Amino acid sequence: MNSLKALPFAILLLATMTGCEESIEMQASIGEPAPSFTLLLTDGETMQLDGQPGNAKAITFMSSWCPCSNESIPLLKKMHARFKDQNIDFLMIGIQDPESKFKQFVVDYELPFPAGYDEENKIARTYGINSPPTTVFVDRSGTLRRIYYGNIKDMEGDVFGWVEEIL
Amino acid sequence: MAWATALWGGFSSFFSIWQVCILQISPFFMVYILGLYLTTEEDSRINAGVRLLLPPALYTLGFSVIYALLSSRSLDVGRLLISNINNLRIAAGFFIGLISLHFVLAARFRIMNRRLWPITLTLGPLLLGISFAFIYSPCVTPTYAKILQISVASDTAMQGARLALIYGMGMGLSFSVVGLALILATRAMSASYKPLVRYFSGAVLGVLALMNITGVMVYYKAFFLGLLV
Repeated sequence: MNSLKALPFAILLLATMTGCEESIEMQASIGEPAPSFTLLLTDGETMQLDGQPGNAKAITFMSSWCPCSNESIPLLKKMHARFKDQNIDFLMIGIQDPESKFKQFVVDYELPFPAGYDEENKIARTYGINSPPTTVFVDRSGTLRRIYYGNIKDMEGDVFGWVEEIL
Repeated sequence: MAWATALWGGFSSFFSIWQVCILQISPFFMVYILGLYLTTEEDSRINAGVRLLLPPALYTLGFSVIYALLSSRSLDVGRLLISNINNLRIAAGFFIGLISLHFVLAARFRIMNRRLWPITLTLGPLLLGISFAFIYSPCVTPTYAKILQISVASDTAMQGARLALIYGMGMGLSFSVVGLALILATRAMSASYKPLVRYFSGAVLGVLALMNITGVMVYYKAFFLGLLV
């Protein structure tokens, strides 16, 4: 019976170990301005997306543990090499991952464009993203044009076409 | 996309390379379904077929409905769930913790089984399916990717939700088939081992509950699944 008496205390202890997190409203809709965010990059700089006209954006949400994320990297690098001199910014955002693992992932894959860790998946939730990898395309007017869920490994023709659409 | 394609996509993902990703929840479902069977096994009032088939069916129902809603970013209810997913995962952790306690305590306090079995066999698996849908970060298989492309457009959102429901049912079906096979395989197990298995099931679910309550689940994904990729 002692174990039963200890139950409320155990539940109380657990409740103190956690805490409700703020609800973050999903704001992303195709054809609407892309939700704004500020992201601390792995190199210490910050990147801001404020919904204002500027460079187009290709943003990929990734996790180090996800096989599809790993497989998508070569095409992302190729995409960056092809379009980097045009009016587009590439960005990788780490989600559902420990920060240290994501930072190591960025180093291991020698990413040629900026990457940052999404604390508590706040940006992902704003974009309605629940699983990696997901790639988001924002045009030069700041409008969200496309969200692609899944591995892009074998989709070079499609992905390059989507980038050209937002330039 | 045909419904049969969605159903097969969900079902076959369990038996493919995607299992690496489904390991987020699949081992925990197996210990749950086995622990539940052993917890209710001694009660002769419960029909054997009901005890075997009802929990996986209700788990599949709960899992696939929430899976479909979470896949429907163009529907208000889907957006609401995604917006609150972190808190829903914590709530799911607390519910899984209750099931864990039930498995451990039912062996000591048999009155719990005698009084609670209708809830244990109906509401329990239904809510566990809902909980697992919340804690799972879906693996974007080629079929599921196509479903998400359909559901993200507002004019095809309902079609996407229906396909995601069928895909989730396919996943639940594969979990159920393997879970039932596991139960049948362990039926011949010596009675002296059964309490140990029941305690083990409770302990494993307790670990899963703690991982979700404290936010450590990302470390399980990163380190355990990371070893396999």
